Amino acid sequence: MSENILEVQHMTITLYENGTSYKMVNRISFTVCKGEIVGIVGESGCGKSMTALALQDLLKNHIKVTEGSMIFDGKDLRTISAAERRQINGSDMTMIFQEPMTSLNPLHRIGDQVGEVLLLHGHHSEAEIRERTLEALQMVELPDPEKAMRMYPHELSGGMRQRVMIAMGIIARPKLLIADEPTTALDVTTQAHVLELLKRINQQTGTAILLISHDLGVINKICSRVLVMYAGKIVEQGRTEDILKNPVHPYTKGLIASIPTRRMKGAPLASIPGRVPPVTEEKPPCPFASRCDKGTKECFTEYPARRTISGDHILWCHMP
Amino acid sequence: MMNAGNMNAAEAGAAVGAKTGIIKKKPFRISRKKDKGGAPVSVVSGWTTGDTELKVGFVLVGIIIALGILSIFYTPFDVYEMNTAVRSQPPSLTHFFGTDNFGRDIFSRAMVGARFTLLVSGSTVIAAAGISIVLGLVCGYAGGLLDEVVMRVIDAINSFPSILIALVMVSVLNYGKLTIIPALIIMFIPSFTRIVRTGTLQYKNADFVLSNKVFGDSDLRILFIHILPNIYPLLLSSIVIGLSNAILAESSMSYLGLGIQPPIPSWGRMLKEAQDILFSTPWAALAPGLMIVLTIVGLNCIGEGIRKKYLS
Repeated sequence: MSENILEVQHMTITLYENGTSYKMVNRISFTVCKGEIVGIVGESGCGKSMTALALQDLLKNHIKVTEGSMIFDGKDLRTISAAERRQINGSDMTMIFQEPMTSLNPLHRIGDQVGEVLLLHGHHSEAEIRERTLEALQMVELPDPEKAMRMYPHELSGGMRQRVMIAMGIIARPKLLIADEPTTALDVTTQAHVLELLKRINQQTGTAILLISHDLGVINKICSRVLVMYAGKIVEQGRTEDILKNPVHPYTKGLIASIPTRRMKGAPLASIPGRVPPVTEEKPPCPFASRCDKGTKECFTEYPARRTISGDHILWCHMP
Repeated sequence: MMNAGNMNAAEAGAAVGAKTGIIKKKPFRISRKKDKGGAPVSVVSGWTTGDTELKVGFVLVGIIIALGILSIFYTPFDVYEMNTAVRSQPPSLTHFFGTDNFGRDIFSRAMVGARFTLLVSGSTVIAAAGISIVLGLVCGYAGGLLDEVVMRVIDAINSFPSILIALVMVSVLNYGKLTIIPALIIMFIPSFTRIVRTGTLQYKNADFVLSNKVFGDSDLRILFIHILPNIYPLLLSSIVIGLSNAILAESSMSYLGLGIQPPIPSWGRMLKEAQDILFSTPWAALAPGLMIVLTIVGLNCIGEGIRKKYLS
């Protein structure tokens, strides 16, 4: 496709606890092209959010990126200074969070909070900030944006707050927007609206989106490419249709099989036996080996090699 | 029977309502009153919401402050002038609280005392709050060694009775007229710092602070624009309570002769002087005592009111 806006190479995130270290994310590599929507999917605790937080440098003190590089727009995020980082945050790369209810400061008006992003980046006049804030709020389809600018967060519903968060995310026209489960806290209809909104923003402004979700349905709606993560590793990646229609990795198959469908009405829900191994547990080379129904001996002894199925569709598994 | 009766009444009401517009409204209004329990009149008493406390507090403290300010321009009698002709007069219309054994008007002295007592305690609490806000925010936000060191020093200060620290400070520092101010500031820093630090810890990992970081806010901006305002209600109520403690502390220090130095009148000092003549002129203790009690009650009411209104 076109150029990459984000290029992650062999990134490892390590948790230090009681003198021992555990790898939360293990040498993952992926890219996001300009203007593309990429999804990361996986169960809870498999390192999706850690990856997002690492990109934004929001990891807690005892968790560190220990290996690899994160090239964003030509700059390695691991080596830039704090000041450069602040310049990138908010203007070139932004993030929206899962919980819209608590992501806005309860004491500041909506207009001030959205406008603050511009205030921090570049020199804009007050009138310009106001105008662009209004524009951003209109773009996220907040009803009556003029009035909303003067309101406080508690006066808005969850869906409206998430729209405000998205407005904050896009007001500075970033090149990459990271959305960490943006729809999890919302009800189903609002969820659909917010996803449509994200897709439209992507088409209108060319902002690349890295969407993190545990819901394949959400990913299917808007992502062009998807990475399937399991226990800190990417196990399969490729174009969304390929992955959903033709999954190869047993874990991806299991995830897709566990989506309830109308055809299986009345039948017990499918699930993957076992659970995601905790970070503190020693894992075999293929992290899914212990839950896999097709696992062989070599899954426990050898790292699965990277295999290309077709075009973009890449797999890390011993099974043919 | 009951049902039938009600039905009839309802039907009758509807029939009448259909004929005349005015009566039609009536049943509706009555039922609304019953349903909402008289919504316009608050069922919750002012003592529960904190409104009454705030009113009482502001009136009491307002009176004292007004007296203090008035004393700059006018007092009924000269505060320092001794007049042997009116020694030890009981309260009367000319001397509201009587005169002391030197013939000085106690009411006038209490007014001037209000000014100095409020000035000293107000300035100490404001200065202590300022220092504590910076200390608490930085310690809570940065954590680590700095936090550890500052908090241990504060623990050390806290491990002594505060009045003892103030006494030591006053005797060690230059024995000037206002030495009591730094002494009291040090006395109040620990509790305020703890409050600010706890608040900062509570908010530093809040989602909105994280999202502010994502949008490129500097740490200073996050601290003072996003975290501090969220701590205000908590801090404000403790500042007001602190103010009443400062007045008590200042009065006790003055009582011990370590506070504001004579001849400037202060409530504590007036109490001490009144103690010697308690049996000949018992009213001499009345004015300063009453002033202290009213101020403390007023301030505590305000503090409690803020707590009830904004923190629960």
